Amino acid sequence: MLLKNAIEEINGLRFMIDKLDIQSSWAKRILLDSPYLHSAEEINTELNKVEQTCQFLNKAKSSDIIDKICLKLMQTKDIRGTIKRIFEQQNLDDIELFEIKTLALAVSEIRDLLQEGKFNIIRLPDLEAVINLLDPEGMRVPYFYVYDAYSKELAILRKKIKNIQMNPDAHEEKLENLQYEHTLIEDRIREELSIQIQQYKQEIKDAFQNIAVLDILIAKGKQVIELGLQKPNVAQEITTYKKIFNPQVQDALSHEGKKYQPIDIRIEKKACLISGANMAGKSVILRTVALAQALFQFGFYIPAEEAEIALVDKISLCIGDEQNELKGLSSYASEILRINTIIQEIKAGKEALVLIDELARTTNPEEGKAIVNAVLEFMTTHHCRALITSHYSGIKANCNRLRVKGFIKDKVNGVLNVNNINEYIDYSLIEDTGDNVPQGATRIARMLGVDEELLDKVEQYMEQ
Amino acid sequence: MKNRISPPLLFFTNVFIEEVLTYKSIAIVGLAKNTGKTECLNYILRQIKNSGKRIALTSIGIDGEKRDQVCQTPKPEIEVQENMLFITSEKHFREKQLIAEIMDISSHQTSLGRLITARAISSGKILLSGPARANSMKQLIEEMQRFDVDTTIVDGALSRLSIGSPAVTDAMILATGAALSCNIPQLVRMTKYVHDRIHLPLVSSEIANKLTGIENGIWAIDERGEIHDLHIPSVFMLGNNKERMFQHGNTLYVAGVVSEQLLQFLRQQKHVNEITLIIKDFTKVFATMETFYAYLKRGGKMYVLYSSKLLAVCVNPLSPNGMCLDSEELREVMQESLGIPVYDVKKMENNYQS
Repeated sequence: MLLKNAIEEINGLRFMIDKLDIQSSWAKRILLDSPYLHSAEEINTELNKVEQTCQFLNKAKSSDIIDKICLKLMQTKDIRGTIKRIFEQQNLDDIELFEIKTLALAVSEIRDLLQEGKFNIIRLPDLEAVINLLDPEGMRVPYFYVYDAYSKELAILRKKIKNIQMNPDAHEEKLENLQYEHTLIEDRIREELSIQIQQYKQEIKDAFQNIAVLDILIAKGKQVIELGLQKPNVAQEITTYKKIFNPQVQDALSHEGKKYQPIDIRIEKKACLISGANMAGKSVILRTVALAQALFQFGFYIPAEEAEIALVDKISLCIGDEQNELKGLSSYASEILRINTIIQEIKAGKEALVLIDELARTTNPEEGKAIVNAVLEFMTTHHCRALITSHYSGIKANCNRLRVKGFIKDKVNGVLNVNNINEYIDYSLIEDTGDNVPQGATRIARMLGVDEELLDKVEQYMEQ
Repeated sequence: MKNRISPPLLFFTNVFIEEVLTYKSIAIVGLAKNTGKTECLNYILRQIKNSGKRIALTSIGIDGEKRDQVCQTPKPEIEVQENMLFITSEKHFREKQLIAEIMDISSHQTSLGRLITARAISSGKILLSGPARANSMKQLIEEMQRFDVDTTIVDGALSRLSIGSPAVTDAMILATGAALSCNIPQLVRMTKYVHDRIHLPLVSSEIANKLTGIENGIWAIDERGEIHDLHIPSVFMLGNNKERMFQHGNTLYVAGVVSEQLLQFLRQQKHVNEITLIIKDFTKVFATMETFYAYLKRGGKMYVLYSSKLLAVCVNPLSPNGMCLDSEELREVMQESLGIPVYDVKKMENNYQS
């Protein structure tokens, strides 16, 4: 799985990637093509690089250097086509030679800046030899043409042509012959340059790729500082988050002047049932856990104060936002087929993080409850890390149980409305011992301004 | 009546070129094919090559074909002078007939590849192609500051008169000639129509400030200077919205195109002499000459939000079918009618050389 596929599946991941301040568009493409990492070693290597980048960014004197580097990165162009042509041993034209020269000069400047800042996690190859080839006059400006300095013959010929052009009585034919000769010499020089550049093809390719890596690292580092992300540790068994938060939701709340309440959560290798009243943030918990796991597996810092995360092969989500209705499936059918796929993957030996929101909510409560029990039991017996939310009571299966604390008792007398409800809810998770689910659907509906007549009827039925 | 503003040719030349160089960007627009736009451009390029100023040259869309694609008449190619910058597509850059140093490759894609900015090391012929849209052109002109360019010259096209829009270039030069009409009075009338649109008076800054930023719709400005959106969905539905049109008075702002239909409608109003029409800039008038003048003659007023500067008109007395008008007569009649300098660059150069 590549990052570009993951952002389609994991809610909130696109937000994080889009917010990265990457300078060049091709570095972003390279980032989107980065793979899901399966080993602790790969993840640690990547996380350590981000850590070093952050340390560098945090040094007071770095900001000037970083600004200069970013400016250089912004100016670099995607020259993959040209690099491919070097590897194919093609003759390069002026435009391609210009691109290589511009890259080589930019790499050289970035190298100097990195050295000045003693920032050495990225190795940029030395391209001085390439610069010398393409800058025979030693001007070190990022422009290119087939310079007179390449050949005396060329310089003389150019003078001759110029003199003839100045003379209005000149022979058209003579001029044409000279121009033909000129083209031949230019072509020969370009061919020689192309052959010489061949020797440095690997260095050029590495330099091109590594400045993209540098671009990505700096962007990641900046995001870590901006959003207060933390480096997660790799856990063997149990995933634990302290004060995990969802940057996208936090961002949306802060625009309304509201605060996000981070929560703690622990995920063992067995099923965990999460219950809680409506609007208590159960779905957000699932999405945030999925996001953190995904960020971790792609080598990013995560939005929590502390985290130990166990590796998984796959993040399996069933959040109920699949668009299968278009395929003619009912919401129940589409959900149960999705659950089936997850079950099959687990049976095939995949270590998955399973996150299911309000399992079996679209069918009748008796069977729905049975389905929830069965899925929980399956996950527990297969030692699968699973978080499943549900509103059903009477769940007997062997699993961990967590409940969102919900309405804060001593505050409940205040005037509740849609806009201030989040001040009245404690979103933290507590261990739940009983199997009674919190109620409050009617109250929330009333708060949302649902028709009184209807709600009175609801209450009458509840009393029966 | 004899022309009174016709000083000796040489003096004239310098004034023309000097004025061109005072602008940051200038568009050269031909009123029809074969009106001598490229001749005019080449003339300017030859004259300014020793001015010490840094010049950049580009085109709106594709231009500089070796043969006219419609009439198949030989077309003069654009000749870039030493040290001038030019912007063209990758394809045309590869076909260049001069030595040029590449300075930049834009990420902007055109149908002929990316745009290359280069400096001519030797003078020579080039096919120019540039951004096809006004917005990208504006951006490109701004980017030329990076290369210390003093004046950017844009080779415009008739169909893209919008490039002469004040929103894109600071000034413009019109090329007109026998290709448009072989009848001098007719040719002058047609050119004057363009000239008159370009020289529509500027609306007061007080009103202009209120209208800036409005991108579409028809608006009214009432006596207290308040603006009201008239919510007229389409100028094709004017008949149904007649009362609504003047509910806030007779001063209207049309942010988009002023169509023939709209101007006809206004012209036919009984109180046309009380109507003031404000338009964005001259490129927005899409009405016939007859309707335009009829509206003004009946007392209607027209103002622009952004005005353009028309520097000069260049005339080409030669038509593609071989007709040749009297250069001096054409020039004099045209100058008399327009009141701005009119040049026949080909003749000027021949005179100069002989």
